[in-house]
Amino acid sequence: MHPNLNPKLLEVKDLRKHFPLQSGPFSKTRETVLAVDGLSFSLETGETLGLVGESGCGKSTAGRAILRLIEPTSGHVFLDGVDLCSLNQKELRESRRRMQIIFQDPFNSLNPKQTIGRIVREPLDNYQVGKAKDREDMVIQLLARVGLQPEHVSRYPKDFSGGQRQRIVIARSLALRPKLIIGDEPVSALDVSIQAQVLNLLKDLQEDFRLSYIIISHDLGVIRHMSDRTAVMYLGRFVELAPSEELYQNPLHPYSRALLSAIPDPLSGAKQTRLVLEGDVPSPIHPPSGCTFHPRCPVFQKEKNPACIREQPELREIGPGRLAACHTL
Amino acid sequence: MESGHKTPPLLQVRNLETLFLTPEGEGKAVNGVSLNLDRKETLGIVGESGCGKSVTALSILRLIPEPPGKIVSGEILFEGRDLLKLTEKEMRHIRGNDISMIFQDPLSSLDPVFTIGDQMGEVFRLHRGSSRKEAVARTIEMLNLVRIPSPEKRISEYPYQMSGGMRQRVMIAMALACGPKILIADEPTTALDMTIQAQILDLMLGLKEDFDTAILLISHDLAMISEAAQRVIIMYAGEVVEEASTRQIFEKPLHPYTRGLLQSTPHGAIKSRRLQEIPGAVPNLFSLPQGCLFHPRCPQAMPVCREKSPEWTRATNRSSVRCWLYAS
Repeated sequence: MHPNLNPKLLEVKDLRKHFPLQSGPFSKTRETVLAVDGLSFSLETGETLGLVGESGCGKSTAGRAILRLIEPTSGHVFLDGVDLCSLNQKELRESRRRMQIIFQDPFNSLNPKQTIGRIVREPLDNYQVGKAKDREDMVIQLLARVGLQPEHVSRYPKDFSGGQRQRIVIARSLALRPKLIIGDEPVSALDVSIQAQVLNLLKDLQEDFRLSYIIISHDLGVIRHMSDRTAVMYLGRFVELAPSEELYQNPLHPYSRALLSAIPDPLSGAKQTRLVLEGDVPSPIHPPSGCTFHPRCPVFQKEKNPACIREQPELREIGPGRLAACHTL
Repeated sequence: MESGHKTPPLLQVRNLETLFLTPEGEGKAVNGVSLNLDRKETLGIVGESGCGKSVTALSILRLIPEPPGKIVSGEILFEGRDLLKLTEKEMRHIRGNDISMIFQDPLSSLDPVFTIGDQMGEVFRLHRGSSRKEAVARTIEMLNLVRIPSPEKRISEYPYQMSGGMRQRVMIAMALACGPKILIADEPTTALDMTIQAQILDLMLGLKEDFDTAILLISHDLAMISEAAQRVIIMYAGEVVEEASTRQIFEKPLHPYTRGLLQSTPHGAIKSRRLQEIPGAVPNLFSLPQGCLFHPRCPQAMPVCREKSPEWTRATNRSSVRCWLYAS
């Protein structure tokens, strides 16, 4: 964590995104997918929050809803004190300068028919940054900052490897000097040896530009390495939010415990005792009653606490800086 | 690479070379790979995309599409018989009964228009000559074994009705249906969620004991391999660069590439701000560097590395490496 008290850059309050399901013309029941179901957290300048969870837990939807790339169903997102959810399109466009997103697949994020120069320059043109004649230099500086050469300006995405493409994506996202970057599985499509290059680059840029990150990943090792705090998501809600090291050393929520025990630790030598969860992640259309984790929860199976079936546990403070949503804690 | 055993290994691959002919030229996807797999052993093959690990596996089963692919030289000895010399009919017999394979993506490995029962039953009818009724009974038995709940109902379901983890269970059940001696598992858990990965890995290792099957486990994930395999082979650009016991690989990796792989993986126990990078990228198969294929990225490259390809050297009694640092 950062020693000096940083101002809150981002404050998310009770963010929800529900997707209505297509139903037949005569069907009375209207079903909804509760993709994101009440997230609240804040993020300081220069801080990294890791969002971890299995597929379908709503972590990517959360990332998009925060930036209003999809309209949240309800809730508030304050960026520098301004509620993004109350802005009209024009105001929102202005706010977008300050927040960017990087996606998993650098192959689909770049237009194959545009040169690298054009791709990185586009945000500068869109927002009329500086004088038109200076933008060429800005592009070259941006490329240099992510480790690419000036001569790359006239090449096309096909000429680059996955890692280099992700560098191009990062250069473009830096063009408008954002304060917040959301990385949605930013290195998952890359090979192990290349992942380290991109993760190091992200860390360097964070220091240079005082960036705040939300890193979304299913990879627990990446999240641990990158984040100051980590939030564990399950079926649209945070089940635990804690400083990363504390979470990894001593996870509290039964789901976090099972999830973290699934990381093999080759260097520990000893065979690990893995907590293997029974069953699959339930459908977010018909989530289980009460605590949505209870059908798979090893603690519930032992203690059969009736509250777990009846009531959804709130995310509450268990220790200093440590939040968890569980009746048994 | 002799394993020091008196009995010959179950599977012995010697100097396998597999090419792909493309408009860009001739790509040597597998370049002189040798490996041994003993009975009941789990051998891990680790490498990044394009290193030739999957092509090696497909070559063993002779499943390389030809053209554009072609196995140009080498031997694949299974119980002393060279699989490369068998007819297609004999090979089909091997594939069903002796060596089977599961892939990363269970959805594209299952036929969407047949029920699980139909697809699995076919295995028994074709390879075991079972009647329809026997096949159903055996299918239910196998699904039970891979811990699919209420298999009597599940056999009339279609693949799309099952979750990824369930589908991979079906694939494992099918692969083990005829009690093969070797199971080749190509990234069997990569497409699955973490908690499901743990389930599937546990299941595979448990069944391996029950069936006395040897496993060739292919993955990019060193940590996963460390849990399952006794020995590991590291591949780079079509070549085996290091072979050692799993313990040895993690405790004393020899090849600079292996060391780089281990150090570049974010790891909880070693917390530092920066990860160790391997500079550059995996070379293009159509323009491989001279000398050692890893030298352009190697922090310890010496003049000889740029000129000559390193020999295979036995470094300790439990590990061999292809690197000039260890040449005698």
